[in-house]
Amino acid sequence: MSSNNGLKIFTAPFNNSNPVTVLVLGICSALAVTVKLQPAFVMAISVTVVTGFSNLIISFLRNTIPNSIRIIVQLLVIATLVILVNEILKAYVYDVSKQLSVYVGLIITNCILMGRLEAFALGNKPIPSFIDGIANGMGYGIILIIVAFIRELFGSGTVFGITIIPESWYVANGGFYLNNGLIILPPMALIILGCIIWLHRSVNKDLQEK
Amino acid sequence: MENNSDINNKQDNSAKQKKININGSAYTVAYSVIIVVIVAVLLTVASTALKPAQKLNQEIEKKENILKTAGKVDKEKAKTDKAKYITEEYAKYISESFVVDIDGNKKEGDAFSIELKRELAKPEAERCLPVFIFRNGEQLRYIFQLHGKGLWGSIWGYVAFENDLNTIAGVVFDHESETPGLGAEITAEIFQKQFESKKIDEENQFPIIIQKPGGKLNSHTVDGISGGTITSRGVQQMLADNLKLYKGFINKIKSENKDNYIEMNDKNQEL
Repeated sequence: MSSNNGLKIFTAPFNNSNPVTVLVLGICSALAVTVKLQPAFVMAISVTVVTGFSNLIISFLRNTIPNSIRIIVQLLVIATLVILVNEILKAYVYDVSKQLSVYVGLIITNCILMGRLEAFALGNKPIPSFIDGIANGMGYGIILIIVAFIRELFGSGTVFGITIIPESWYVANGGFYLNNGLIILPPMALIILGCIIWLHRSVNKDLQEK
Repeated sequence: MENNSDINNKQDNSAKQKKININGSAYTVAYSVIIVVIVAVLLTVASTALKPAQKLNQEIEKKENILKTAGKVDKEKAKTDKAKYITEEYAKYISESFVVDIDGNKKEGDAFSIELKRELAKPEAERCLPVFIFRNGEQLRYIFQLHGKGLWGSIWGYVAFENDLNTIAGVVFDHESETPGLGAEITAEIFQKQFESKKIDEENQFPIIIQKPGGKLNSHTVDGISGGTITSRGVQQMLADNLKLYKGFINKIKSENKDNYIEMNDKNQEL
């Protein structure tokens, strides 16, 4: 593996093959966990860990897995990792795990995981697979964080729970400002995501179909 | 280094492929059995090893919620070594905890380990209701447990009453899976603070009414959460349902208090 190749594997998910904006995978959770930044951030880390290690494990096993139960084995590895992450969060960072509640479990259903295992880990060596997994997790996470930032700032007036919009601006305190209630709702996340895809495509000419 | 290991890998793999057909039924069955057993063992070990830590976290959380309801958690102090701080404070201020039945009579049982959700599934007469007594010098507060339904899953909490069993001293709510930013805001301090010093309305179907934000408030009403209407209604219903169960106990203590008060007055008059 040349370092150049490794770098390419690492950077692709941030631009030309971003799992959310280009491959349009993992949209469901991008809508669900992006109301506030903190859960989005922990979700991004958890997904990165799970994609990285599931890619690594499947890549190690790739020559031994019988073709007929390939998908089930992948699912088993993903589910095991997700349960482990959930148990560890519960034992050591209880408050965070409570905030994420069901979403950690829902990592199992994230299409990016299975997508990367099928498309990359089954045909590549462990180290590039690991890099690919981590990079895809991060590519997903970065979109999550951008969406969550916009939604938390305009929906709740805070960033990471810290108040940004001054209290005195609010109508309730005699000001002129109101938080946008619509932005908290999932449909608005989809619209924000659409805008990000639009922006991404207009900047990156490679992505435009002729 | 890397190249060598790659070559070894390849040799290993080709050796394997020569001996066994990895797409054969026998191999497939054996493979799935082995991998399932490995995963099962791994998860069992992890779950058993982490259980004590998780259980401790849950206990600390419960104690913290009970203390918070009575208004006795210093956020700054709780930041460093929370477990120790909460355990000490709990031992110091929660002087008593016991179980009562629907008529308000004390029953056998440990209040702390009761799961209210299970109790609510039983017939009314068999239910065990936990009561925690908070005592700080002269100050006495009664803490009751709550359990109800939100939009997506369970919601629960605690409510603390002043000595008169009519004025709310504080509430804590929590939820299983309400929508973050909407229904989940019932855990926000700004929402829970509203309940302080509200009085439970005995005439009304709902002791505390959670109404659309912006309306006029009185001593029985609080503002709901915009976009979290169903969860807000769930909280209102939870308070109504659970306080109804504690009614027996509330009435009993109230009449005892009245007797004491009369006795004291009598004594005063005698003096």
